[in-house]
Amino acid sequence: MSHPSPAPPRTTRRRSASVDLAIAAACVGALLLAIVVTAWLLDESSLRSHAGARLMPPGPDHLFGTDWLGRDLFTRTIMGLRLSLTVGVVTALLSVAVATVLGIAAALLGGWVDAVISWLIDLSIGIPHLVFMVLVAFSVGGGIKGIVIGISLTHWMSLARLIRADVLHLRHSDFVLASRGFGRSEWFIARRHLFGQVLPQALVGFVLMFPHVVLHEAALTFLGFGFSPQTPAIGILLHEGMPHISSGMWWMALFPGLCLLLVVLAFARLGDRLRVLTSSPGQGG
Amino acid sequence: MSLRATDLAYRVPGGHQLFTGLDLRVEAGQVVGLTGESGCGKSTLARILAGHLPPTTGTVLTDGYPVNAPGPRPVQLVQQHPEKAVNPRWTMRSVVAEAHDPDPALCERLGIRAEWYGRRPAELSGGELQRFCLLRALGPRTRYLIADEMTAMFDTLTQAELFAVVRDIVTERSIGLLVISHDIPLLDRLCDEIVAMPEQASAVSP
Ligand SMILES: Nc1ncnc2c1ncn2[C@@H]1O[C@H](COP(=O)(O)OP(=O)(O)OP(=O)(O)O)[C@@H](O)[C@H]1O
Ligand SMILES: [Mg+2]
Repeated sequence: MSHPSPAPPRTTRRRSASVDLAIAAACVGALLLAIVVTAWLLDESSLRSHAGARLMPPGPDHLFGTDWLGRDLFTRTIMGLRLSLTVGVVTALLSVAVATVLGIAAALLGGWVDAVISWLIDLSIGIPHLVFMVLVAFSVGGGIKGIVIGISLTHWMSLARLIRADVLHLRHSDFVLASRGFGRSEWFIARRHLFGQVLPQALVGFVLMFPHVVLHEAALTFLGFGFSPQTPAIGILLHEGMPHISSGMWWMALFPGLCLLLVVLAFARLGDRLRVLTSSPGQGG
Repeated sequence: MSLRATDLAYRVPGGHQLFTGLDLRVEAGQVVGLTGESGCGKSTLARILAGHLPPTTGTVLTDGYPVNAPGPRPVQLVQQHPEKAVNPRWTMRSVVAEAHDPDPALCERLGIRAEWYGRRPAELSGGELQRFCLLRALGPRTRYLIADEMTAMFDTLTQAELFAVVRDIVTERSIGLLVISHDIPLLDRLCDEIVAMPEQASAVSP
């Protein structure tokens, strides 16, 4: 990102970048808090079916309407979001962990370890990952396990590649060589020089991975390879709601879909802002 | 007591031979100048002498010991590009602390201001940053100092001033100094002995 004019515009741009980041983080925080608190306040009994309140459009009693069993869709949406977010966090953390460990191992150990990991990366980047993910999820038996394993096994490659390149580059950089010359141990170098570079990468990776994971989780569930139909997951709600759109029951898919979109966009924005800040080394922390 | 390179050869990985059969000796307290045309391998030689880079063949001994023995090395290198020699994310305080606990009098002599310690490399000029690299290299264990185009970013006056300080420190502590430069008059003023890189570089084919 080169800019014709020198220092002053750069500082103001950087300041606005951190304000942007703060806004994005606040939005995500508020959303998460709202979901958790609402889920906690909600009465689980409205998850049960009520024969008298079937297929009601949105109104004061049922903000998002009800489904064909009379279950309150607002409650189901919030519960679904909470579940999706929890599974999303676990899955995104897992894939970032896999990426970080493999990326660092490839760069530091080199040799056949590097060869195998790089080969895996190249191989799996070539395969359309939705297909790969469905295959993995299906082969471990679907359900939560299918989601977590299917997504984390198919989403570590680009981050691992990034981290590998970073560590490789750093390992031969003048300041790491100098550090060794001052008598610093390999452990000191890994901790102070390499980790400081890898951690922001991993953090950005996590925040960017998260919305992606939540979408895939919904997609897997929607396709029938994810959560079981009894679970109030967002993917299930969408799956159930879709057939009713054509018969005029638009609210069944619309509200869960919008909520999912909102959460995903908020996270994607935060990840983007973070990436802008951390991609200028020496200026970020 | 000397920094001694014997029969050094270096071949750029996958490339050409930079030098072969190179011998070099810097005695404790001696100032040696090294010159040679651009690209002949002076910086590469400096890295090898400081133990940053293994030679293809040959040995480097400091006072009889291999240069890359564990622990703080007796040979320290001040590089041509100071911005690459320090972690861009660190403050200058951490950069210095990584090497040693500096003597305030030394900082003062090198013209380092207290307010620079809280800054990161990008917030210092090349010359200011190079002073920190020099400070870092002048630890208590340093016996030999290699200055590779150290003053390329200084004006003539500052350059003379800084080399006068370095020359004094080196004499006081009986450090052997290797000055790498294209500036022959500078080397003439500073050095006890001037060595030219052998010109075989381009003649030897892979
Ligand atoms: N890692 C490397 N990979 C490829 N080529 C390299 C590498 N390191 C050095 N070289 C090559 O080796 C040659 C010598 O480089 P070096 O930096 O030692 O030269 P120098 O004598 O210090 O030049 P200058 O006076 O311009 O600083 C150059 O031609 C350079 O391109
Ligand atoms: Mg050079």
